[in-house]
Formats: sequence, C-alpha cells, structure tokens
Amino acid sequence: MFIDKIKSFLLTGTVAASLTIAPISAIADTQTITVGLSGDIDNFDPATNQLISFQAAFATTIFDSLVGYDSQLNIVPRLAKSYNISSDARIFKFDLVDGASFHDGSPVNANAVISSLKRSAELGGVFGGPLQSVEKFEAPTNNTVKLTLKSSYAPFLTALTNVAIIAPSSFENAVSAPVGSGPFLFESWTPNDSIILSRNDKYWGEKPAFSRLIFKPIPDPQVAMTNLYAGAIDIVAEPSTAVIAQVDTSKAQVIRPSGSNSIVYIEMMGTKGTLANVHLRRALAHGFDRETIKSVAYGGQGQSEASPLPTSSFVYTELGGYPYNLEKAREEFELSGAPEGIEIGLEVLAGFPEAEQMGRVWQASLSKIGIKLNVVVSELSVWLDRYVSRNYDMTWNFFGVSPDPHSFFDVILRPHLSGEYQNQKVIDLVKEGIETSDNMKRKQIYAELQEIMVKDLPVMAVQSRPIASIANKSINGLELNPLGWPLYAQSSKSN
Amino acid sequence: MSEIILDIKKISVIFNKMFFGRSQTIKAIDNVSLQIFNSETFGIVGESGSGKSTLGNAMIGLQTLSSGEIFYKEIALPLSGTKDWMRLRRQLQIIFQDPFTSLNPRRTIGQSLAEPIITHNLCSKNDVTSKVLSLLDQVGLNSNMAERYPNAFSGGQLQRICIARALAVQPQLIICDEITSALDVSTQAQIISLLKDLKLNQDLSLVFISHDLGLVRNIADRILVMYLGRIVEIGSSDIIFSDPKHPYTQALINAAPIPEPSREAARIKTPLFGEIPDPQNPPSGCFFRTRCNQVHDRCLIETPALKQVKKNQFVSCHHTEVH
Amino acid sequence: MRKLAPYFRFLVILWVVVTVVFVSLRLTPGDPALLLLGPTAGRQDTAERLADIRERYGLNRPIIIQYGIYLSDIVTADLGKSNRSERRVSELVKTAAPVTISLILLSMLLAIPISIYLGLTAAQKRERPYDRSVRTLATLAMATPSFWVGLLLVNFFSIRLGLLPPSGYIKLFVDPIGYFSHMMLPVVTLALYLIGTLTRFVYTETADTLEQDYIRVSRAMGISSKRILFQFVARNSLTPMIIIVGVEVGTLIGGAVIVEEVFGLPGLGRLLLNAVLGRDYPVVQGTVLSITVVVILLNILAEFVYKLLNPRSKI
Repeated sequence: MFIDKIKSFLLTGTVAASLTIAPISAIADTQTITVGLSGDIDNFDPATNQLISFQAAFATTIFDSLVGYDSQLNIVPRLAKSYNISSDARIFKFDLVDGASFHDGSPVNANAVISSLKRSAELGGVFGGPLQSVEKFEAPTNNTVKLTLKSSYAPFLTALTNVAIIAPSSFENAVSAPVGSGPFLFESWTPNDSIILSRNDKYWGEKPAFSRLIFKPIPDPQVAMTNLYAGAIDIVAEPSTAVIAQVDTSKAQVIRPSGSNSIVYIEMMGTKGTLANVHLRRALAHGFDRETIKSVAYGGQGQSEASPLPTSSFVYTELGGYPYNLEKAREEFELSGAPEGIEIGLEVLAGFPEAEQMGRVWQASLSKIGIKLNVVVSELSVWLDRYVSRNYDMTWNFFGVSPDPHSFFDVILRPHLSGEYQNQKVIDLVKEGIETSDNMKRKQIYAELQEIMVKDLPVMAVQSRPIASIANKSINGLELNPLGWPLYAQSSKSN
Repeated sequence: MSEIILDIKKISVIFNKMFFGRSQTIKAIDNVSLQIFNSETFGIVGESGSGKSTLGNAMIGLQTLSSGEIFYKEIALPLSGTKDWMRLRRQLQIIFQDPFTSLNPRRTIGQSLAEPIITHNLCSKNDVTSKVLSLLDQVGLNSNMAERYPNAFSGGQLQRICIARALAVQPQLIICDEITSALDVSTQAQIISLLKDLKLNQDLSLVFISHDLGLVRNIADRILVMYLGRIVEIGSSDIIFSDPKHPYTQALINAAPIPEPSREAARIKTPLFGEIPDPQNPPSGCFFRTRCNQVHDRCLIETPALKQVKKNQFVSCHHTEVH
Repeated sequence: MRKLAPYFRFLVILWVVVTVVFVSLRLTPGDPALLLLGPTAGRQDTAERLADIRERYGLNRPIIIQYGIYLSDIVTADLGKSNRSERRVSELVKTAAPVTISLILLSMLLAIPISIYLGLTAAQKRERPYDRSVRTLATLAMATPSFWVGLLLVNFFSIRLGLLPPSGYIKLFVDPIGYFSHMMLPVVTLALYLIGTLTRFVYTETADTLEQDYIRVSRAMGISSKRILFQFVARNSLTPMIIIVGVEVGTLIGGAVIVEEVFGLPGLGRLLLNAVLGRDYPVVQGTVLSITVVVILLNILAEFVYKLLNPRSKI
C-alpha cells in the first residue's frame, strides 16, 4: 500500500518533469525588450520618486518633459518644440508640439502642462524645487506656456529636463498608475516581478521600433548576468562596477556613454564635527591614493580629478588638488592638532562593493599616519538616516551632475552650507552663479567656487563612476547619456 | 536420547567494525559445536558479552556465520531471503528480551498475531480471528485484548503476547533470549511456568538464554556455559549444578543466591574477581585465565579443548585432565 | 474549555509574533519617510513633504497609538496599505502567496518521495558503498548554499542547454507549461536542500527501526524483507516525518527568500525582504502575520495527520 503511494508520487514528478521540458520561447520575439533593474520600483510618481534608477528607466519612456537631453547631455526640445529665454533668464516661453496627447487621450496643452508644473512645484524636492521660483504661470495661447521667475535663474532650463509632465487626470494616482505622454505607456506593475510598458501608438514623435518594454527587478548582479547570458533579459541597466569589468564580450556588449557625469564624493562635514578642522580634512585628502583606488576599486576606469564637477562641464577647471603624499598628510595632521590614533568613521552604502574597497585602501594609507579609519557599511535605510541628519564623520556618496554646474551646489553642497560649513563667500557665489545668464561670467564664478571647494574640502571629489549598460548582441542603437540613462526608445532588437 | 533437531557444527561469528577509520575485529562466537534435541529445554548462560545472544540469533539463521554450519534436521540453515528460508521460518522462532520493543507499536495485538498466520497460510482467512483468540487464550490473555495497541499492556502481558506470536506458527524450536530479564520477579515466575506448561502440551524444544542461573536451573534440561564466545562447560543441568567442573561455572554457581535462607547463609562465596576482558583483545591461551584462581603456566599458552568428563558433562579446562 | 486551549495557544502565538515584529521594526534604525524622499529629505524645502508623508502614513503618532491602531485593524482583518506603493497589503500578499506556497509544496512533492526512497534503501544497505554515498550526498545537499546551487542550475539548464528559463514566473492558470518550466529550477533548488534534511531523517529513523526487535522477529517469522521495509519500517519511521515536514515549512520559507531572489519569483520572501529594506511597516507586518498563520495552520495539520496515522499517541 505504501509503496503504491510512493509510486504515485514519483509518477506525478515525472509528469511534471515532462511538461517542463519546453523551450524558452519568450525571448526570440524582437518586439519585446526586457531590462534587468537592480531594484524594484514601487512609486511611479515622477514628482516624488527621486531614485536615479527610476529616472533612468522612465524619464524618456513613460514620460516627456518640456526639454530633454540627447545622448551627449545637450538640451533638446521635447514637448516644447521651441523655447525662448529672456536675456536676464527670468522669462521662459515654450511652444508646445502639435498633436501631443497623454496616454489617457487628453491633449498636452498649455493648461495641462501648467497644472503639472504647479503640482511639481508644490511637491518640491530636487526636481520640483526650482519651479518654486516661478512667479507666474501663463498660457498666452492654447499651445504656449510662459513662465516668469521671481528672479534670474540660469539653471532653470536644465532643471526642467527633470520635470516630467503628467496628465492632470492622474495626479491622484500617479504613485501606482502614471499617465505621461512619452513613447511608452504604463501597463502594469507586479511587485518584485515586472513592470510592463507598451508602445504608445499615438506618440507625437518617432515611435519606437518595438512594442513592449519590460523591466524586471534583479537585485543580485550575478543573477542578472546569468539571466542576460541565458537570454531571459536583453539589457542589464545598472551593472555594478565589478560586473562591468567581468562581462564576457563574446556573449554581450558593454554600452558606455561618451563620458560619466556621475561623480563619487566624500562628504566630510557631518554634525559630529570631527572634521571641523580644515587641516585634518587636507590630511585625509593627501592620504587618499587616487591611483591605487582607481585601479583597485574602479578597475582603472573613470577620471580622478580634484574638482567636484565632471570634466565635461563647461565650467570645469583643472586643479592640482591633493596628490597622494603621506609626508604632507602627516604635516597637515600635525597642523590640525588632532590626537594621534584619532578614529574617523566613513559611512558607505551596502551594494556598492567598490565603495568599500575604496575605504579599505584609504584605511591602509591613513593607518600609516596615525589615523584610524572605520569603514561602516550600512543598508540604504540606515545610511540614509545618517546621511539626512548628517550624523557622520564622513560619508561616501555619488551624484549625477547635470550639465548645469549648479546641480552639485544645490544638491550636494547645500545641506553643508546651511549646516557645519558656513562660508558666506560660497553662499554669495552660488547665488551669483544662478542669477548670471552670461556663460563667460558663469565660468569665472564656478572656477572660483571649484577652487574654494578644493581648498576647503567640505566635500572631496573621488572620481567619476564608470557607468554602462550591458546588452545582448541582438540589441541595436542603444545609447546611454553621461548620467547613465539608457535611451531605450531609440533602440531596437534583431534576431 | 531423542532426535537431534539442530546440529551446530564449528560455527564462528566475527564482527568487523569500523571505528574512526580503523577496523576492529570481535570474535563473538569462536568455534562452537553443539546439538539441540527434540523436546528438550536447553539453557545458555554467560555474562553479557559472552556471545550467548549471538549464538541464539545464529541458531535460527538471523545471524550470518563467518564459518561453520548449522543443520536443522539435516538441512543446512539457508541464507536469509532464499526460498528455503521461508520453509524453515515456521520451525524456528525467537522471543527477545524486551517485550516493549518486540511488538510493532503501530499494529494492534490482533494484527501482530495474525501476521505470521497469514504469511504462512496456516488457516483459511475466515479462521484467522478465532486462531488469534485461541492463541491469546493459550497464553492466559483475554480475547478483548486483540483490539488494543501494545502501549496498553504491561511487560508481562506483552511477553505473553510475544510467546503467543512465536507459538502461532507451531514451531519446533523457540529461542528465548533473556525473555524474563525485563520483568519483575513475580512476573518472571509466571512466564517460566507458562513456558513449562506450553512445553508439556506441545512437541517443542526451547533454547533458554539467560544470565540468571537460578532461572535456567529451574527450566533447563541441559546447560551451556559460555565465556567470550567459547563453550566453557556443557552438560545435563543436574550434573552441572551439583558438580561443576570449570572454575568459571563454579564461580557462577557460587555467585548465584540460593532461594533458601539457611542454605544461602551456609553458601561459600567464591566471588568472581575482575572484569570480563576486552573481546577485541582477548587473553592468550585460556580466555578465562585472567580471572581464574587456579591459573597455570599452560593456561597462558594453550587453549583448552572441550573434553568429556562424565556421561553428560563436557568441560574445556586444563585442570579437568589433572583431576 | 480544554478543547479551546489549542486555539487560545494559536492566538497567543499570533499576538506574540505581531508584537515582536511591530516592536522590532520600530527599533530598527531607518525612517520610512526618509526612505520615501531619498537623500534630499534633509533639505528645508522638503521638510513639509516629510511631515505630509508622516501624517499620511500615521508615522507621526505615538508608537503606542500606532500599535493600538494596528491591533484593532488586524482584528477587523485589515492589513492596511503599503507605505510605498499604497497598494493594499492583503492584495500584495494575495499575489505573492501562491508563488511561495506552490514553490514549497512542489519542492515537498519532489523531495518527500525521493528522501523516503533514499533513506529507506540506504538504511537497509547499511555501511555499504550505496549507503555511504547516499549519506554523503545528503549532507552535501544540506550544506550547499541554495544561492550557489540555483546559479549552477541556471548556468547548466538555461545557459548551456537553453532548456529552461532562468527566472521569472507565469501563473499556473495562464499557461501551465510556462508555469512548470519556470518553477522547475527553483523547485529543484529548494527540494535539494529538503532532500538532504529529510533523507538523513528517514535514514536515522529507519536504521533505528531496523534494529528494533519486532523487525527481527518479523524476519524470523519469514515475512519478506521488502514487506518489512516498505510496510513496517516505512510506516514507523515515516510517521514522525510528518511532524518534521511541518517544522521544515518554517525553514523552507527562509530558503524560499533566497530561491525567489535567485530566480526572480515574485513571492512572499521577496515581498518581505524588500519591505524590510524599504521599511514598509504595513507590508512587513502583514506578510509576517500571513506567513505565521500559514506555518501554524500547517503545523496543526501535521499534528492532526500524525495523530491520525499514529493511533497510539493519545493526547
């Protein structure tokens, strides 16, 4: 009797096994491109989700903005087919493209754009913040939007690249059901499984060559790569530095942008005040072995410069900075008067092994001059808690600096300026930087700011992050911009 | 003497054990020969580790032999699993020491008793139940007990059930391996008298294995004394108890209390000193020499052979020749 | 009254779990509101939004009040809404649960008969090469990390042979063949661990039972060794396995977290993991509560089946 039960069990197993030997069918299809993301997305509201991976995935797919970037980060027209900026950078006029509509069918007209912009201004944050300087939102015609600012704001156009225009009907449910006007429309999200977009056949611009774009959250980079090799996904969007170095190029292609605007920083001024003395910060900088760190942590990739701005920035200034020199580091350490054997914490976010490797190299160097560096690796929520309250000695961070240099000062430096790094000169220069529309004058202003940054070191630039996407060889025409956003809509898939 | 039913010829059983990667050899039975006769009760005594239980298992074919042969009525005991094995199963039965582990806890008494009857087709299907009830009756148990599981019974009752199960196939020989040692004294006596009764009614041989000399004396016609897998002394129960020849037998008999206060008081106690040697590393010559009070030089070198000293008494001791 | 005791125990366990999860979540560093806003949450211009979020999700209330609301919500069978996606927790659990439950059930279905067969036969052939290799493999299966096994299987079956999909999930009722082909590798991965544990369990139990006097008596009776092994021994050594399987469900859910991660299955494990990382309190609480209920129910079921198969245990 019992043996019969075993037999029937085994039989069930065999049936299941024979059913499963079916070939993988999903991927041969050239109409579907599947992308592996490093994490799931649970908030689809472009006004409140400030994750880099959210922007990279959806800013150019579901959503449209008035102006956008091309693959070189040049500002190009999107929903605004043309624009006009007053010489004092206070009045911005946009002519909307003809025939654009939201995914719900409603037209993208001046009123819809204005209410979407106003919503972003209300919600604030990095993206909506600049819109708070708008004094007047006007719609001179049904197809024209006129924005008048309280005062001159040179980075305004760049800021608008981050502001997605969404359909007024979707304001309430944008978190779960975003309605944009981009080349793809949001179909569904299954938590931890997939986000499915389908082609917007009524798109006003050039329609994508494929009909479905699927995002799959695959947190582990090894798992993501096996999925890519097996053909279950076509693109790994945000591979870690270590994974990029290990790609088997006979099976897949590494797609790199023309440069990287993603800069890694060490923020040195937390509320703990451990590094209040500039000589101590300089000692740390002289003890930072850029060459070794670049080769150990970043596989020899990226540009390691003293300036906190990317080399591609129009205001970039080359500065000497602090070459690796333990003698000088020791001198600065003595000048600082900090006790021998002082312990300094470095906060690092989990999931970025290269950041920890950087910390280890630095730790080894600093130990030679009597500084004990403690590298603390924490998961996002813990790291963020300390980051936001600035409750640290030093923290690692990285940021995609937009083509306008102000973004660095606005996002990374600003909390320090209102906190431990009180420097009126810098505050004034930053203000001047945004109020000046002349590019030559801005160059001078930002050159001075970069010099002060390097001299005072509230934030130390590490280097640019090597960014890339990894795609199967069947993917054509995929480009990345220097912020690391893959431009999916222009790509296609062959057999 | 009556018919030989079991003829054991020079059997040895060697256990090889792997212990931390090293092979260890234990000779549990060392070149033993003996016969069991029809209708007799044969006692096997010895301390634990003497090989008496292994011998009991070997007698019914549950133990693979390293050498030698056993014949049941001139048929060599077959290997487990062969066709002949099944035929002999009916004839040879065993009852173990612990009645609590001897019955399948997940089957009712009735099921356990019916199992051998069904396996051997001893009666028609319809009669199985009545057969089971009569077996229970035979060992003095109530018929309503058939429905119950073993955990509802006392040790004595369970041992009766085990006896009933052994009887179910109407065997020629039952090995009783320490069947009373797990029971209290009054129950022991009941089981012994039950066995005696059953023997009177049936044409049955019993091998009664025990470390308790008193019990063996009470029931056995002949006795075998074992020490470290070898025969020390074998012979009729009366003779051995009245005139033990081997120093070990003498010591055992002296050590056993006599259930009569006046004689118990007068008993000369020649205690057995020392421990039983490590069976992996037995002494040279006579195995008993390390504990013997009459040890000679010869005992160290030469293993004594089993020799007849009287009509019904065989001893393996160098001293018996001197006597 | 005595009849109600098990249900009371059930409620107490639930209450303890709910409370422990509630408290430990609040003791864990990491502010859900900050996580929602990201690194710029410290800016002055976002302070208002931070307050809005706290208000919206009730995070600004005193903890004891939050606890009270949570308990009363549970009593009315309301698990709340996700702090992040604003989906109903019950809905999230309802989508994720079938994935995990079918993963675990299929693994058991695969592992149990194999373990029984291997355990029984190995115990019978004790100390022979077959027995030794079975036991070594069982230990190996138990000790090998599922993560690694999973990747190995994907490498072989998906990349080398291109036979099975490396990840993803398709609902059984949408496409049964797709379902099984996607579940095959995860199920084998999880089952391998289970086969390791259960084979060793069956082996020890069987070896024990084979030594029992009643088995030797049965052999002496002439009952065939096949019948002895598959009737008596199997029944006696397998009944306790029901309890072990019940206990293993808890371990399997732990294993499922890893397997779901490797194979991209949208199950309870990943739901829970991501909710913990995102400090999505309602989702963590709701998921743990649901898992607890399932584990307790399965254990009660296991106990019940055990009693049914094992009439001598009278409690």
